[in-house]
Amino acid sequence: MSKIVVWVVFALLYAYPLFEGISNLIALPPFYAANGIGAAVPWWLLIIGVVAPVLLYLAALWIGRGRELFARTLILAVGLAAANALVLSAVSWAGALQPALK
Amino acid sequence: MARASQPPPEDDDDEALRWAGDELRGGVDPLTRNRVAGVATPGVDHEMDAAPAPAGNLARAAATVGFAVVYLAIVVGWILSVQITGSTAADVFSQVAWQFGEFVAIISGALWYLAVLTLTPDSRAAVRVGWFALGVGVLVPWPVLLVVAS
Repeated sequence: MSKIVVWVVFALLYAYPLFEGISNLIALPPFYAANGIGAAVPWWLLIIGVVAPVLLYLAALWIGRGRELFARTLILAVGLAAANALVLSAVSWAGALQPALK
Repeated sequence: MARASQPPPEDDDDEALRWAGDELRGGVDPLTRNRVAGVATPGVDHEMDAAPAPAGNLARAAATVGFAVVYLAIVVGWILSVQITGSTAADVFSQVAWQFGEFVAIISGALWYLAVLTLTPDSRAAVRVGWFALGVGVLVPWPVLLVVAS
């Protein structure tokens, strides 16, 4: 039971970096296109932003299977922190790679 | 110190390394164990009392200390990184969520390090080093590195 509570709470916490990744994927290409740099959309960064939270959540569940609750929670927390760090890294890379607006 | 059956008298050194009841529990006292280990490995100095720690343990300890420094650098890197990144969102929820994201990014290095430390207590050196190395790859504090590089 407590196992499921931990899964659900962390699913909600992972939803934020995922939401951020999805909103970047939706909003950035039109913004680039409107500014005449549509060809420079950093698709791989946008994809990392969406895929990383999902993959890290699933990986944390997989690595934690069969372990006690403390270990499961710790692994999910590590994955959550890594997901947020990766999203921030992807955003900063996108900013660094962005060509000058026309 | 009453015993049901008194063992035959031995020399004092042997007696000191033996617990009453070792034989009853099927255990092997340290002195006998070391003698057996010494005989099993020919060429080993038989005068030696205890087996040396395996080389893997030393490598593991060295890696654990070495990666502590690297992860400390990662935490410092993320503290500097969140000064650079910022949210453009105006509503309170987005602001709070963004702040929380920045906070967990700061502690990501410490969390990863502690998790590897606690969850691989008996693993081989390669397993522990592998998890440490993976964390370093994932948690590179790019925001501050990109600013420094530009």
